[in-house]
Amino acid sequence: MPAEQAKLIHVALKAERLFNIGPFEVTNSMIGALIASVILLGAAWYFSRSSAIVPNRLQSLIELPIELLTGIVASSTSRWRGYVSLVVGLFLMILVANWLGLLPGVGTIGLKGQAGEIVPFVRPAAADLNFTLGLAIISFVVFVWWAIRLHGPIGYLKELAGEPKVLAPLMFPIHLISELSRLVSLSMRLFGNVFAGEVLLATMLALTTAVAFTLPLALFVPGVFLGLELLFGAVQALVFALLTMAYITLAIAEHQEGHAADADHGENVATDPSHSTPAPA
Amino acid sequence: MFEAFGVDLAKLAFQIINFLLLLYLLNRFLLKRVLAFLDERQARIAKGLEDAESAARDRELARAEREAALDEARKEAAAMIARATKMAEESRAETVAAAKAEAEKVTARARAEIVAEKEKAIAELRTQVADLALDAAARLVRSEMNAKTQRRLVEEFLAEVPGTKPSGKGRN
Repeated sequence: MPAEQAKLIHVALKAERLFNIGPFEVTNSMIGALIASVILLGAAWYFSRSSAIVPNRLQSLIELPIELLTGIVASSTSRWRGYVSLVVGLFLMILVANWLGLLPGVGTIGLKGQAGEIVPFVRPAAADLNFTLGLAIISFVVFVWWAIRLHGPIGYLKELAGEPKVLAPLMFPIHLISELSRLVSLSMRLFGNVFAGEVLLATMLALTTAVAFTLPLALFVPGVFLGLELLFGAVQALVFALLTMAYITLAIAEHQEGHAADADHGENVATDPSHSTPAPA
Repeated sequence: MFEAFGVDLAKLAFQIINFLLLLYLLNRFLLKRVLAFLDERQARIAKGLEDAESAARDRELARAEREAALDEARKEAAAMIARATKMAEESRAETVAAAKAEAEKVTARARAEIVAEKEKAIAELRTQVADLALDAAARLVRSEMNAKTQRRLVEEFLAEVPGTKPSGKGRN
């Protein structure tokens, strides 16, 4: 009995290998990421094939999250068109990948592993740190790139050093760690939430199947948690996308503040309009 | 630490490349179009609102013009009616006055004729009565009275008859 239970509750911390293509190991979370990508590309294909200015229902459904996110991003900075695609893309990818994990069969149908546990064919992509870290790295690179693009490399380093130059040796490492911690927090938050969700669902499933004959009501419990996971999946996608937007916005806003500070220190710069108005993106 | 989570460079690279590729295709085939649609819809809605506003303005203008024309017409009609009424009033007064004058004239003429006829009748009556009385009296008291006494008696009698005046004829 305990061995049986252990098999039911089995959720591996790392994505599991399904097969190899040459030296390259293909894991079930890659399959999850690929399926999510295919779903999104299918939506894009449908949209590019039959979209109109007056949308039908399916088109509205596709436009809805994009419009929502665009509305939020558009209110961040005047350069929003430069990074709206990334934010919306992150949101859609994470949302679809998360919800994919809630479909029946995902995480439960698979190969039999060496220890007798099930190795599912598909694992929600965000339950693999490779996926979340990959997205976080992209996000990190983009917001650092925005900062460097608007400040210049020296300006970015100055920003990291902080304002009182005397404190720079102290502040520089702190700022550096703060920047890098964004990478860790972004990836770990998403991974932790989705992975915990998987564990939670597996646990609830194991518990309720164990007592189903004595307590029929327990059959509804996984349903409740599935509903919660649906919400968490959307929330985590939104959090990842909006944090990325916030970091980019900060990088841009700091740049604009930096310019304002320059204008304060310089002579006759305040009257020069090119310094106060950002160039169109 | 990364080993425990199953992170290795190849898998990380796969996920990054997969997402970047997806992002490129999504951006190209979905996001740009959606943004274009959103922009176009916004522009159309703005234009629609503007058109509606200008149409409302035009309508308001037309309404004001119509109202003004109607007012003018109404005022003119009122003036015409007032003029006509006044004219009718005047002509009626004239007619009435003329009729009244005519009636008065007729009445006056009739009255004058009546008075003349009456006078004539009285005078005639008086002569006849006097003659008749004379005749009767003569027949009654022929022998006892001379002509002078007779005459006086008749005169006295006539004076007592109401509505007559002595003609004075033969009083002396």
